[in-house]
Amino acid sequence: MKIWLNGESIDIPQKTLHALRAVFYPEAANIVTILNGFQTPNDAALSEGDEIVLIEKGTLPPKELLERMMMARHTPGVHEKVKKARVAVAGLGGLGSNIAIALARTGVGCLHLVDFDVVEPSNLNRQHYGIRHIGLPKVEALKQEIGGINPYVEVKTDCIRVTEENAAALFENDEIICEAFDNAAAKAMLVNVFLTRFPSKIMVAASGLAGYESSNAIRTRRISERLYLCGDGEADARPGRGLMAPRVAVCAGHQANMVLRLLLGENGV
Amino acid sequence: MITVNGSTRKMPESPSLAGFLRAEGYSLDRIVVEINRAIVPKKDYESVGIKEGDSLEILNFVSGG
Repeated sequence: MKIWLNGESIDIPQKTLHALRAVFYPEAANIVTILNGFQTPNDAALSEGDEIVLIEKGTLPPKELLERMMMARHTPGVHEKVKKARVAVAGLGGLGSNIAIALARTGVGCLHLVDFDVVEPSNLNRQHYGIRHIGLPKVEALKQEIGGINPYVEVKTDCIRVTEENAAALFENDEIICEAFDNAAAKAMLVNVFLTRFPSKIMVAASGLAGYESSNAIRTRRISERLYLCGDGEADARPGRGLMAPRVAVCAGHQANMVLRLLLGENGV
Repeated sequence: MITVNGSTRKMPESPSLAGFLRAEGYSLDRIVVEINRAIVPKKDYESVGIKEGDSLEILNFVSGG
């Protein structure tokens, strides 16, 4: 039968996962075995078209195999679809840096990162940066991080403040845009420009994610055909209510998952 | 009558959109407004009037990211 082994189509006589694995790795103890996106120690009957990835722990695979192995735990079919996509992230703070990292791990083909600021110490309580990044433009720091996680993602950067005047030109080539600003007026400005100027693009915005109120108050809403809004809609950052990693990451996760759903053809929340 | 974010309301005395939004306590620079599902450009808030039967969606953004 024909199956996919580490990304290559091969014809095999073996009928089970472990019989196949034994051909390549007689000593199985150190081998991660993934069948159709699911890592399993158990044997299983094989069927035509199955996707199998065998990974030797502790070894860096050859370059042509690395991406396949990195994506081996994805639901089958997802990688091929997201690889063709281009997504913009406007603002690389707690929301944007976490959205971008999640989408990079998912293997989105091209990420367009936009932010004007540099990394400073108060960012580190919730944003995907480290001490070594302090003083670097966020677009540069995040590009480095993404390169270290998934070098197969193309990263485009614009180190610029998004304004009413430049927004339309900046995001002209992006299919989906994540609004991930910190400031309420900047959020409203971008959504206004987007709804006024882009009749066919989709925006995933956020509002209400400060503090340590319940995670479950954060949800994704479909406001209109082209606008999704994540957050609780109320919890603003203000004196007495800060922004912390857990709840910010919950909201960033909502945004990133909505983007993934859209890329896979699911437009419901 | 008009509809605001899904709730039925009495038609405001003055039809000015900007006046209505201010009276409702919104900061005009933090919102997105649709009337009958069409976006109202921010520059038109002062000139647009609300009409009987209109359906308004007002999206209020709060800070944090």
